[in-house]
Amino acid sequence: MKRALALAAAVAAVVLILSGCGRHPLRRAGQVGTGGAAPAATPATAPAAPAGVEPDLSTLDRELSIVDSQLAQADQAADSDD
Amino acid sequence: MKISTRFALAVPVLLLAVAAATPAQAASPAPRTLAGEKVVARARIDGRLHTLAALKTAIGAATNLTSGHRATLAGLLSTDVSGLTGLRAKVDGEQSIDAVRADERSMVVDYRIYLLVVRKVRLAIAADAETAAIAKLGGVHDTLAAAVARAQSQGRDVSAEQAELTDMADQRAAAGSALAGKVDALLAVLPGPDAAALAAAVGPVRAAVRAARQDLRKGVADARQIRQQLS
Repeated sequence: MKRALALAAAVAAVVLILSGCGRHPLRRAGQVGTGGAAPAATPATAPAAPAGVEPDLSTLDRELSIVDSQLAQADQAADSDD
Repeated sequence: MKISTRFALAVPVLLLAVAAATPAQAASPAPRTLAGEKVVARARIDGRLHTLAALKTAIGAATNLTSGHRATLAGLLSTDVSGLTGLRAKVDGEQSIDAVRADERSMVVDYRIYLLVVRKVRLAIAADAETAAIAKLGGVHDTLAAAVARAQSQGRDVSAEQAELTDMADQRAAAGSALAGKVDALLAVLPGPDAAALAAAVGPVRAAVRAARQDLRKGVADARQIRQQLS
């Protein structure tokens, strides 16, 4: 009986220690206690490209298309005024 | 009589005939009744109210309009719609032709919808779209500059690309300088009886907006040229 009580107390102590202050292994891993929200799979901002990686020129076409669109909007407004 | 002499005599006669005929054709009969004056005045006010409604739609669709300019223009339109709607009701209640004509004059000089308000809205939309393009083109410039630097570090001759980058930056700067303060100055202009002064206030803003657009198109062409050379 004493051994059973001692074992139960030891297990309870370990569980309390591990779950305290967010230091439970599962909590640290972001799998429990996050309010239901799954941890983000990737950071919100992309990491800076490491040295030796070419700048992403493919995004330039999209950016330039946006500029074209902005200038077209300016054209339309200004032409309406002329 | 020589042909040239006949021609010299015929031209003044012809001019006199035209001059005599022109006034009768140019003069449009003015409404002489109070009811007729009111119909014309209401139609002119309604035309302005329709223009204001179209401008409101344009403001709503202008995604690059700054919040400050949007608020200023929305307030202006709201005030003018309210004023012109009240003026329309005033016209309905007038008891004399002179009173209706005074209302029509107020409709023109106190609001200047066509001469000033339309220009304020259109040029603000255009200038803010160009300002947004300047910012966007700045990001494009930086990305291209990094790509050019990378190509240079790999031993490539990038003198042409660097020259185009410099021109791109110059075009952006020129567009920014052209637009600086122009819209705010235009939005501060108040309606009044001096149409020439109002037109003089609008002219430089219109020219600046056009010049900035041309500068930005050159900057975009530079960017596309560099992009192509780096591919």
